[in-house]
Amino acid sequence: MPSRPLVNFVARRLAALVLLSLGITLIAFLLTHLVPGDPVRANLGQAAQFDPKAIASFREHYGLDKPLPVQYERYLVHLLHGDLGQSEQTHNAVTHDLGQAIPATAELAVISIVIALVVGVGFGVLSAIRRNRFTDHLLRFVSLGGISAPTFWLALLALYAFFFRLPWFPGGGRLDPEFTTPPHETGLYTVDAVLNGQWATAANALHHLVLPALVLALANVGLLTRYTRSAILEVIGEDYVQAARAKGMPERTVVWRHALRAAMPSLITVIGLAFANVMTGSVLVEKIFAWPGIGQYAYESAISLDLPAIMGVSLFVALVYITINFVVDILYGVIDPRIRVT
Amino acid sequence: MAALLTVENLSVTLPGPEGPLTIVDGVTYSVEPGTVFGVAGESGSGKTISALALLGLLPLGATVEGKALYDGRNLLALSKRELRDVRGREIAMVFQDPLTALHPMMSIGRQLSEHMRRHLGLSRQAARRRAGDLLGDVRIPDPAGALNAFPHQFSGGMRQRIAIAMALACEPKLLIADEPTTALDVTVQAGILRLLDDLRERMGLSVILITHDLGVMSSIAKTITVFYAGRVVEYGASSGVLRRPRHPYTRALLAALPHPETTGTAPLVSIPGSPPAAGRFPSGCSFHPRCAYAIESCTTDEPPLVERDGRRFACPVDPFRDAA
Amino acid sequence: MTSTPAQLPVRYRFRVRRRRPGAARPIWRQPLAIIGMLIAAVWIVVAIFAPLIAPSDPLAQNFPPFLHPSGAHLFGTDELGRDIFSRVVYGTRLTLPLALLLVSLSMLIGGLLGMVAGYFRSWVDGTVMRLTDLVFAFPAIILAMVVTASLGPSIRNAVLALVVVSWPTYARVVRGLVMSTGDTEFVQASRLLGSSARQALFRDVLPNVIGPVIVLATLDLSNAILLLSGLSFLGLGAQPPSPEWGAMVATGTDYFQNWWMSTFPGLAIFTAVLAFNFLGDSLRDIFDPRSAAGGPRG
Repeated sequence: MPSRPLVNFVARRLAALVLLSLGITLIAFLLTHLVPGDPVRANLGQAAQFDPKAIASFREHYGLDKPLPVQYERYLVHLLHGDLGQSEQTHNAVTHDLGQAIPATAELAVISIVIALVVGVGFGVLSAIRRNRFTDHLLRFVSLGGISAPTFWLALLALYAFFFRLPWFPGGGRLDPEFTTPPHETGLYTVDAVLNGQWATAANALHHLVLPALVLALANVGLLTRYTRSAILEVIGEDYVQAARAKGMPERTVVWRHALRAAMPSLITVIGLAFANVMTGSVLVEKIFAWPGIGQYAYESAISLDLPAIMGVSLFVALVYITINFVVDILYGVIDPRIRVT
Repeated sequence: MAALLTVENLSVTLPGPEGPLTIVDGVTYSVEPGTVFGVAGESGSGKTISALALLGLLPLGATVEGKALYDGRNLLALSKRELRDVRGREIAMVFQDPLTALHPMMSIGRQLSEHMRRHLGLSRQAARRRAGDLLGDVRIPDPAGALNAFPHQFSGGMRQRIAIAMALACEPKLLIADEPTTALDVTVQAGILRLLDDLRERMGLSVILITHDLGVMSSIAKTITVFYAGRVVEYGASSGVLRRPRHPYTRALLAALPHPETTGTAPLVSIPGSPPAAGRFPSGCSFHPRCAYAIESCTTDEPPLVERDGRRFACPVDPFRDAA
Repeated sequence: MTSTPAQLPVRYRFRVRRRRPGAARPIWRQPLAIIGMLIAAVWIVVAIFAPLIAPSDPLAQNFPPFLHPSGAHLFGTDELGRDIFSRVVYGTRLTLPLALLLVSLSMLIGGLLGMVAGYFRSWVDGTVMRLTDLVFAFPAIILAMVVTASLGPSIRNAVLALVVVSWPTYARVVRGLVMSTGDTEFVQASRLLGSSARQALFRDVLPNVIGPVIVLATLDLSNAILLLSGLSFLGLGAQPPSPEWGAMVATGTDYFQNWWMSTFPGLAIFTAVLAFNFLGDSLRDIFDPRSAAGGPRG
């Protein structure tokens, strides 16, 4: 049974999460009512546009003739039933389109974050313990470069170098055309293929993941290296680190157990930031690598002013984001017992 | 009785903006087993650094000279690995601020047992049991519960006890206590000192007690060394040093202690001037600019530590030779 | 602390200033800062003297398209026969002032709101915090995309959208600083000496808040450049035929084999961003130095 303070802490954060979610739905709702233009004309097909019955029923369904608060209420009700409306572009339910797009981005995001974490934190610790020596300067320079390079440019350079010039990697998409998509279980091609013993498919999917994941990871590697370095440096001078040495613990343990743990709270903040970077980056990277994910979806719906799709995507992305922040908050409490009392 | 630790001519420099600064300048003393050895001095006198040097815990860029003989080995010449085996196992340290000396995010049990497992090869359960016993020894209420708790849940005095327990976990022979009571309330201080004395008696522990507070010193130290500007200026049995100091600095320090008998109108005595900054020690006797008894030669000749009447002190002028 | 001889309590004359913790090396001794300043200076000079530096009109389609970089065309020509070097040069006149505008507006709006929230606390603080929470919930680019798309893609709307997205960071930082400075004893002392809330705010709290905000702004400048060019890359910012760097990279994507079309504008973005990151980093070291690991203990 987890301790009382921890349970209370989680409960409070959860309540805040729910409130924030509500606020987000309001924002999403208001945002899309900013858009000039008649949603009726936009949503209905060519023929139905002039059919008064179709118009009337559409108006009814979405409560467009009612005042704004009522519309919002309708919207919330639909939301709770999992109805995000119908995309004007594809004429599919937005939830369906999202369902297709989410796993694609998830696959990319997870791999890219893992790479960024391992490399970034590793570099950061290295940089901190070799402070002001050559390794440190080199790593600081590289990480600065990583966060300064525009993601879309890097993606293009990567494609040019490793697809066009040296044909090591494919130029886009999730699978080569000769492969069929594996049976849908998670939507993550690699996982689905492995689950069904389709090793060649899995390998191919992985092959397609490499370039976009690396490009996405680069900005985060830079970020994590810098933050880890400063987080470690902040704690390395503390008495408890010195006390650990005085106990006879090997330097390796002192750094990776004592110092890193004390630096965790700062690091966890960055992980939230890293996810945000991945979301932002995915819009650009997915466009360049023709990756059918959320970023691509968001872009397409934005430029075609597909209202339900925009609302759906914004809502989804915002919810994911605040959930991640919520998890981060909880992790704070788990890592640092002093926080549980706040 | 053979000394446990003999320090000979220890000098330490630390990197400064314009070159290395001398923090400790040729310090010599020895610690007997089973005694409390007091090191007194103001901040900046080099007392902490000289102790850190023994355990090889100096910051990057520090240089060390001299010898520190412990158990037949020179601590200052040990390799990193040998030092690691000495730290915590033979010689342990307790730091000044118990709030920052304990890791805020690790449980007490973990902090107490991790080095026990390393040095003594204990299993997780055995180490935990022993940790519980240690907490009992330092009189922490509910040791079993304390093992799962975190430092911020305890008061300052209890944290210091925990830190002491942590230091003694592997039964070292020598404990270096750097200002162990300075960050604590006066009422709590006595308890900590009593604990240290108790441990000394029960375990045959030797303690190097570093403090600027002579009152603290007087209660448990057997021998006292007085540091000034990186050098030892007086050294001898504590009762003697505190009651009949021979060095002007020691005397001035003692005179500066507020006495309960003085009436409210008596002015507070202080030593004129301020201690010299590291690396900028005055020539000759470092204390001469502030000394009421300084003569011409004090500004040029560095006074050696000389033994007289069972006391060692560094003042050729020796103005209190016949004082009561 | 600077102070005038006391003529208290008639008029509040003390200017209380927090001593800057530690003295870090001055900015001209840090190599990264120098490099950053140099590169930034180069770009600024290019922006100012663009017509003199660019060999041709950025919009003039005078040349054969798709020429490789050469002596005549340092960066080659694009699909419409325009000299890319000239376009990159003129691009500075878009990117740099706009990024500056973006940062200034965000800093102003966010800073003001943050200051008010941090100083007056209570419901004001609560409202501002909820607002920032809401904006923070949306990843920058999604929000910016939606706002720009709904208002119509143009560079002006892109800037607007990005201001909406960026002000909360300043609000949060300034609020935090105001709150922590306001709690310090010297500000309380000045209030006790009789200064009004507004005076205390402007004379005591503000000077101590400016430093970190400047650091933030400098680093944010680089972020602004990235976001602006990102939006333009997506077609939601600068519209053709503007020689905006991000938009140029986008065009280059369609003509992949002509690598110079995307590489040079991208390089321009990269170096500009790098310059401000170097600068911001060094500024941060000055305003918030972490002393060298350990110092001599007593």
